[in-house]
Amino acid sequence: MNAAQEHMKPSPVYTLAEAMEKQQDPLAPADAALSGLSAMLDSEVASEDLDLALAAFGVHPEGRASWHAYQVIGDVLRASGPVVSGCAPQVFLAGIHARLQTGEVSEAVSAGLPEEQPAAPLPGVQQVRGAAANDAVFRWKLVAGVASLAAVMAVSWSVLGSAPGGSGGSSTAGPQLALTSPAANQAGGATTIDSGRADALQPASGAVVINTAQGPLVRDAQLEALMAEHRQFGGVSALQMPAGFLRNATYDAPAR
Amino acid sequence: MTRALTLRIPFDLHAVSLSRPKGAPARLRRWGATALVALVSGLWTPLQAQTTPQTATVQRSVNEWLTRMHEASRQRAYMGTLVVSDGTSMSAARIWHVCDGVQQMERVDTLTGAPRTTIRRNSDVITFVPESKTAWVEKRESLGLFPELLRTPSNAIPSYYGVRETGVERVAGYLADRVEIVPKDNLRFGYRIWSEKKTGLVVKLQTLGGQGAVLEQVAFSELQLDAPVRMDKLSRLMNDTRGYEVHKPVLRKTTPEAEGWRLKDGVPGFLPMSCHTREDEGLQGADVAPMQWVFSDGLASVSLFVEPYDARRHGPEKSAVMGATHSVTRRIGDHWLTALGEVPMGTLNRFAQALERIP
Repeated sequence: MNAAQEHMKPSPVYTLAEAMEKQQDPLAPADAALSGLSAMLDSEVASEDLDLALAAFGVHPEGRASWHAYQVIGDVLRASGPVVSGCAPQVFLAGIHARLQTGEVSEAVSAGLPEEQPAAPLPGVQQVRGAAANDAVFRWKLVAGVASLAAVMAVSWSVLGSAPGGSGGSSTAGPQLALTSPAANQAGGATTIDSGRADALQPASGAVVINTAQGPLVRDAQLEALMAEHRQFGGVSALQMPAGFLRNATYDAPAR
Repeated sequence: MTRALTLRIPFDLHAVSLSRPKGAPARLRRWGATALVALVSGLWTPLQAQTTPQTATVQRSVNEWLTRMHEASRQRAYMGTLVVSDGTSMSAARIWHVCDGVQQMERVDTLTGAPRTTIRRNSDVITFVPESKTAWVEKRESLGLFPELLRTPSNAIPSYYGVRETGVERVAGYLADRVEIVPKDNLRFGYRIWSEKKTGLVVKLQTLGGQGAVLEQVAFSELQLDAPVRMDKLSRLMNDTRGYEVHKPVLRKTTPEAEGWRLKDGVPGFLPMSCHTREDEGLQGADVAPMQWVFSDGLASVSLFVEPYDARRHGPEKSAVMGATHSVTRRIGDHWLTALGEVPMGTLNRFAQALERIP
C-alpha cells in the first residue's frame, strides 16, 4: 500500500504527458476536418462548419479515437470531474498489448486516477496490483513453503491412517455401523468386522462402504431412512419427553 | 465403544501436533483439538470429587423417578446446548424449552451436520431444512403417551427394571442425582440418568450395554434453567413457513392382522404400541411404504418394518449397530423385515424369529 502511494504522487504529470503523447499518432494525420472536431469540442465551430466536422467524424476511422482523446485532454486539463472513457474495447486492449510488448507498465498512471472510478481506464493504461510488501523477503516464502508441506503431511497422515489395515491406529477403533452375518447373530451380539476384511465386504445394493479412521462405515440409505422413521414415530419411551425427543432431533440423521 | 473413542482422540491430537509447524494456524488447530479433548473427557469422566455417598433420603421407585423426570421437563423453561454421542460420532444442538402449564414448546437447532430447526408444540412437530428449503410437519403421538402409561396397570417397567441411586454429580454446572435403571434380564439395555437435584430435569443420559459399556449418551454441556424463553416467539417461528416447501407425511393407522402379520411368541415385556403405514409422496417410484409395527417395554422401543421383498434393494440378511440402535434384517417369504430399536441384538432376533405371515 505504501509503495502504491509513493507511486501516486507524480501521476498527474504522467497522466497528462502520456495521454498527449499517446494521442499524437491519431492527431498526426489530422486534416482540417478533424481539427474541426477539436473546434466543435471547444464550442468554437460555426454552424456552417458543423456539417463538415460531423461528416469527418463519420468518414475518418480515427474520428472516434480523436474525439475521445480531445475529451480526455480536456478533462485532464480542467481536472474537475472524473476522466470519461468512451474508447472501444479493442482500442483499449491494443494499447495494453503495445505497452506489455515494450515492457512498460505504467502503474503510476493508473494509480493517479481518481479512486471512485478505477474501472474507467485511459487508453493504453493498465492497472496492476503492486507486489506484496514482503515479496522481497525470502523468509516469508520459506515459511509458506514449510506450512504447505506440513499441510500435505497432515492430510496424508490421516489418509494413510484410515486406510484398511493401515498403520494409523484404526485397529483400536470399532466400525460405527458393523455388519454381521446372520450366523454371527445367533452366536449372540454383533461382531465387528476387522479392517483387513473391509475389502472383501460386499454390502447390499444401495449400501456404500466408506473407510474412515473408525473403520469401514456402511452408509445404507434404506437403513438410515428406517432408523430416522423409528426415531420419529417409534420412540415410545418414558424417557421420550425428558430426553428422547431432544436426542432424536439433535442426531445428525439424514433428513429423509 | 466408549473406550475406543477416548483412546483415539489423544492419538489424533498427537498426529496433529507432530505434523504441524509452530505457526498461528497450527496453534489454532492444536487449541481446537485440546478443546475437543476437554469437551469429550468432560463428558466421559465422572466427576469423582462431586460424588458423595447417598444419605438417608427416601429411595424413589423407578416409576417415581421417571414421573419426576417427566414432570420436570413439563414445568420448566430452559435453554442450553445438548451433545449427543453414539461412541464414534458426536452431534450437538441448541435447545429452547418453554411451558405455560397447558402446552409446551421446544426448539432444537442443530449445530452439527446439516442445519435443521425442529420446533415442537406438544405432539405437533415441524422440521425446517434451510438448505433444501423444505419443512416437514408431523404429529408424534408417542410424545403424549406418558405419563399416562406410567399410571396404568399395564405399566410393566418395574417388572423389568430396577433402580439404584448412585450418588450426586455435577453436570452442566448443576448438581444432579445419578440414577441407574438396571434391566432385570438381557433383553434390554440399562440407563444411567443424571437428574438435576432440585427440579428433576434430565441433564445427562447414558444407554448402557452389557458389562456397563456406554453405547450412547446425551448430555447438556451448558444449561440455563428458568431461562426467558418466549412462547409467542416460538409460535411465530413455527407458523412461518414462507419460502418453504411444506411436506406432510400422512400416517395411515392399520393393524398387523389387517396387513396379514402376527407374532408367534411375544418378547417378554414388549407390548404392541401402534401400527401404521406411511402415505408419502416422497417415496420413489412404485415403492410401497413399509408397515411399521412399534413395540415398547416402557423405556426401550422396537420397530418392525415389513415391506415386499425386492431383490434389487434388499441384499443378504444382515445386522447393524449404530450407537444403542441395533438392527436386523430378515427375508420372510415374499417380504423383507427390518427390526430395529434401542435393544440388544438378541431381542431383535427374537422378534425376527417370531414374526410370521398369517396363513
